[in-house]
Amino acid sequence: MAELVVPEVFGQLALGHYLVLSAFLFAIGLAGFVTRRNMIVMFLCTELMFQAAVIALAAFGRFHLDLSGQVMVIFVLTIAAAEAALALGLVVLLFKRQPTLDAEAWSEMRDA
Amino acid sequence: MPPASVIHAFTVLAAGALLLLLRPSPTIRLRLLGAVVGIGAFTGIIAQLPAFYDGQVMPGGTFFLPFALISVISAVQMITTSRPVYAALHFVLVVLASSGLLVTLGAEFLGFAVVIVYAGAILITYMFVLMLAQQAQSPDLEDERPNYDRFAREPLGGAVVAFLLLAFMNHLIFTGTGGLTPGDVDPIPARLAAWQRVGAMPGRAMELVEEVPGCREAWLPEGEELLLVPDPDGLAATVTVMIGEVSTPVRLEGELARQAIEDNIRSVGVALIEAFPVSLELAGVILTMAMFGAVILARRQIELTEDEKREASGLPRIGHHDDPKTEGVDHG
Repeated sequence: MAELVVPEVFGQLALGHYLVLSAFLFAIGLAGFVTRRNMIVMFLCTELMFQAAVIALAAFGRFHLDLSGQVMVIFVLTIAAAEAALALGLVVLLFKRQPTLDAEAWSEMRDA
Repeated sequence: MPPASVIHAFTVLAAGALLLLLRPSPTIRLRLLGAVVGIGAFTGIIAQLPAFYDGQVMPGGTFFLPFALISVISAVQMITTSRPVYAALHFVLVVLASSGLLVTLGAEFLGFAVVIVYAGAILITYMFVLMLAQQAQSPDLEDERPNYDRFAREPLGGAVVAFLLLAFMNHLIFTGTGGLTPGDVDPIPARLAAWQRVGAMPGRAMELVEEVPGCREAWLPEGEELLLVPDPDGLAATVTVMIGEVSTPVRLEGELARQAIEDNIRSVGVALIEAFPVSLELAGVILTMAMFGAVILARRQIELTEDEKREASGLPRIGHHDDPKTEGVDHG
């Protein structure tokens, strides 16, 4: 029976593997939030950053053998759900005022 | 320890790759180059990590790289596609891949919860709003899509800021806590804590006791606390139960002990209730408030003036030169 041969680099994991992945996802989410102009996609990018935090928390919990990390993830999920509900409510409200999803349509402040 | 300059070089490469991919991107060939350089930079940083460990094998290592690549590639596609619906679908891929990673981390419950909550609930809400707010048809031709989806805002600034943050985080990971391997932490306190959680669930403990040969008739006197004493190394425990009329110590060891302490869903549940009861209540309050807030926001009626209505439907404004609203402010 041939054993699956994996290069040693990828067969063994340290906490750093998960943290680097989490940092990458967070950076991509941040870049997306700054560069995208579509309001809905901007909020999707915040969800991506939440996802990065989820991976980091679960990895810390696993490597320190402590369940608090996983419990924190449950709270992150709660906050993400609340944020999604409110953000999308706001987007719907803004869309009723100006029928576009362009965030720059709201770049001028005025009293209205 | 790899020299810091190598890691920073890879981070700069990744930033350049993202810059090539962000819209408006010049040609398909440059985008391909960006994709290859980006994947190379990510894998390169991951490949610097073995300097840390000394032979400890973490289960699930084989699955890490595929899942990591899927999530990073889909994340980049999510922020570079010009179709918002595709962005949402790519985010679903990120969620599925990271749920796989959570399973390799031994967090099975979270793996399922993330798929159910994100892919099942949150993303569906996003899709609804996207469909609601999308212009009548989503054109297939790139040029006909709205400008705000085709052009990035400040691509250079965004990539630089994000990857400065990434460089800083990578620096911390490589000089700090990133080298932690599964063998570095003493597992005994964790096992003892797991036994304590089992002791807090008398029903579950009795289920396990009934699996021990000869203990099918074991019972617990009404109103008495379960007596569960783990061994000092946490690999087995002794439970005192009644069999017939005699109080008998029963050993939980081997496979049964493993089942008892590696029970992810029950352990997370007990840890949640035991350690964070107030936070749990607060989370419930936040969810309720968010629900009320969303309902109030979405039901609010917007009063448009006649001019704004005409403007929105593409008609010229009627006669007035001044905005009636500012006029009112002047006199008031």
